[in-house]
Amino acid sequence: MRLFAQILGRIERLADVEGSGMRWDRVCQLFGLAGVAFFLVTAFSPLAHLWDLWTAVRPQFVPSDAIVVLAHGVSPFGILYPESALPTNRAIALYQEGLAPLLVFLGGAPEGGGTPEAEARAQLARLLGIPPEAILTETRPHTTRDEAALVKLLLQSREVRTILLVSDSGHLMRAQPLFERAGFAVHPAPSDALSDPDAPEDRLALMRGILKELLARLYYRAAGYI
Amino acid sequence: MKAILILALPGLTFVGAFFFGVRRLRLSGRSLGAAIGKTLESVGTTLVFLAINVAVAVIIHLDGARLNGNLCVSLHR
Repeated sequence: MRLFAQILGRIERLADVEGSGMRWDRVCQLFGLAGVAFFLVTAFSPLAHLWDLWTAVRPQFVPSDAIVVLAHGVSPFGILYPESALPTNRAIALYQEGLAPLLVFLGGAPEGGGTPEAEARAQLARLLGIPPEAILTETRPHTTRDEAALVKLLLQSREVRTILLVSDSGHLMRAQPLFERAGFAVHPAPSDALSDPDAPEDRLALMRGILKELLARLYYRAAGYI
Repeated sequence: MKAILILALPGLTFVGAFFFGVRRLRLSGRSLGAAIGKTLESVGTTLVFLAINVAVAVIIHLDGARLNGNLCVSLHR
């Protein structure tokens, strides 16, 4: 107990930077004030939506060799989550518009087993009239980096050069350079609606997604992946 | 409307509690500033520790990935 008090005292002395007039508790108060202000502004203003619009990837719906749909998640019962169903539907629509002859669905099985996301997406596409020979699935990737590497292996023999990459806008900002590094000419096809949420909890959820993706991009950059 | 309600409810509770404390419980109104300062300090400390935790996790993970080639556990999808 005494040792603990000594350590605390030492930390306090270290944090009290002499001459600077700035103490640890003041610094923490400033961070706290900034955090609370950011929370309130996010919840009660359209900041998250404006940020989302500002960083959104512009779609390039141009004819390509394949449409690649990135993974998002599936329930243990094989039901696609909304974040997964949205890009799947977008990709099917792009195929039906004749923008590419090949659909590549990505996504593994949920934790604890079950139908892989890619298979659930392929089932949906077949139900909507896409010929089975136009559908490829890859169920192994765990990360966006894995997805780029495995799609490269999958499409190498088919001489695919240009792809329409389908995911939400934030994810595409990180995925696009990865797929370009893998040797593809990438045309982003964002699938999110970029709507302005009204409820504070929805705005906070949107900001959480933006910050999560921002951190992921920083992490990928620090790791040298992009 | 919902946003106004969410803001108004804790705001009014705060004001009510302040007056109750000052008038009925004879507490010092000035000590509220110090209490808010301590609350902000707690929030700030939490944020600082969160940032340090994330930074340490990234460094450990990047070092692990360099040593191991590719870690089984990914820090991010």
